[in-house]
Amino acid sequence: MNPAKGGWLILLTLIGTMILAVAQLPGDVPDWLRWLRPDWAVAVFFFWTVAAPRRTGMVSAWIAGLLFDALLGHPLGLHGAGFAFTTFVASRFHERLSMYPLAQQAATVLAIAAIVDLANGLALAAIEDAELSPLLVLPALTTMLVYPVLAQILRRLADRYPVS
Amino acid sequence: MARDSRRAVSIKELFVRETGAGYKLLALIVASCVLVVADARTRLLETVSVALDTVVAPLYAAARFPHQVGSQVAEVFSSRSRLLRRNAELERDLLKMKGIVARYEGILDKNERLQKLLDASAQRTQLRSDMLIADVVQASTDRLEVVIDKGRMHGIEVGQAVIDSEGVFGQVVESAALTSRVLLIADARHSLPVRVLRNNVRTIAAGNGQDRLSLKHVAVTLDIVEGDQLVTSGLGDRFPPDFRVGEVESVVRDQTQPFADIIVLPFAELDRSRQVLVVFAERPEEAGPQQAAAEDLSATNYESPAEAAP
Repeated sequence: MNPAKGGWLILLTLIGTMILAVAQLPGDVPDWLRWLRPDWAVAVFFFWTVAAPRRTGMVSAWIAGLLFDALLGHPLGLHGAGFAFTTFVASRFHERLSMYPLAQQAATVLAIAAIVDLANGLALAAIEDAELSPLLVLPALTTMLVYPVLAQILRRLADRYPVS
Repeated sequence: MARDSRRAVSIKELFVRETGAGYKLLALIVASCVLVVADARTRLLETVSVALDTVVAPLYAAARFPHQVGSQVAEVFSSRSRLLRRNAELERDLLKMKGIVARYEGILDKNERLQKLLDASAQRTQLRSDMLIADVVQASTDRLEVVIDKGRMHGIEVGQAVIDSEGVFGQVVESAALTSRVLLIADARHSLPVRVLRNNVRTIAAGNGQDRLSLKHVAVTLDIVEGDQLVTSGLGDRFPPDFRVGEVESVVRDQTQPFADIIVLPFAELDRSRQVLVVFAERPEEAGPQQAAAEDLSATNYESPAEAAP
């Protein structure tokens, strides 16, 4: 990435998603609420790949995945595959996706996030005897719900600080 | 004919980029699988993951910001009468605790005298230990591990026991410069040597991967009943002895099976604790540097100066 052409904005939003991935809500929140935390990173990778397909790549998404693994305490490499998959789908269909209305993009994000969550859950269950909960796909739903808002914010930012 | 072949070439060119991307994705997924297995099953990647942990450590501070602001705002806006009431409550608790500690000290002294009489000096040194308070900065939904905000710079090493206010919490499995990773006792990969307080029966409590422990290889004839309290036995040199672990919740004896099915409810609040204590098991030669390194060593330092000197 060449920071002079807006790559820094993508980097900044990525750091933002990393913080959101471990952010603690103020006060004592009920335990089940943590199942609703959206996959911010999947949404952000999806948005940037559709908006600026030349600024993101599968390899950089995979490397960012390593940092998420360290942050969340997962085995190294777990998130990389999901992020690379997100970037792959978004860049493969970016002409079509960029024409879609936000609702339709959000539906695509739901599908991608559900696949990623399910794959990650299965991998963890296989490697660590972790419990495979049906609540696993809830984050995909919340990701879909936050995507339109997130996309609006990121679009405003991209308009102000051009990314190409 | 020539036109056909030219068209075939141009169509091939059209797809070349896409198939390339597909192979790249496949390669990355395979790389992920290899890394995940290597990281979860071996210790080959430990230096890499410790380095990455150190890189991402500042993000935890940023992530805790809303929570800290929230609790500070709550403090500012809580009424004077509520604060006074809370203060009175805490003072009452403190007094109660002081009473218990005074009694505990007395029992500890008596115990040491008795053990000296029995010449069991090897066990005696294990009784007193230092602790370091740590905040839980990250807990994940899908696995029984938490990240705490103390690391190698605070003297924390892999293998140290971690407790909360109620009982044994877990153990340190990885320590980066500023953060450490704690495996909870309920994790399926965790086993803990315990003893039954009532009759000193020794056994192993393994996590069941959810929120309970189960006792391994307990013969159906062994005397363990519901409500039995378990403490660490101190065998295996990981956990200091006599820390509270949990209570036997259910015992199922099937006479056709060699072992009983015993479920233990841990005392520690594995999914709620925000503050935990890292235990420094006492080793006389290490007592000095540990105390110097950890600026906020808790007041639970039972070590008397006479004992520290070899």
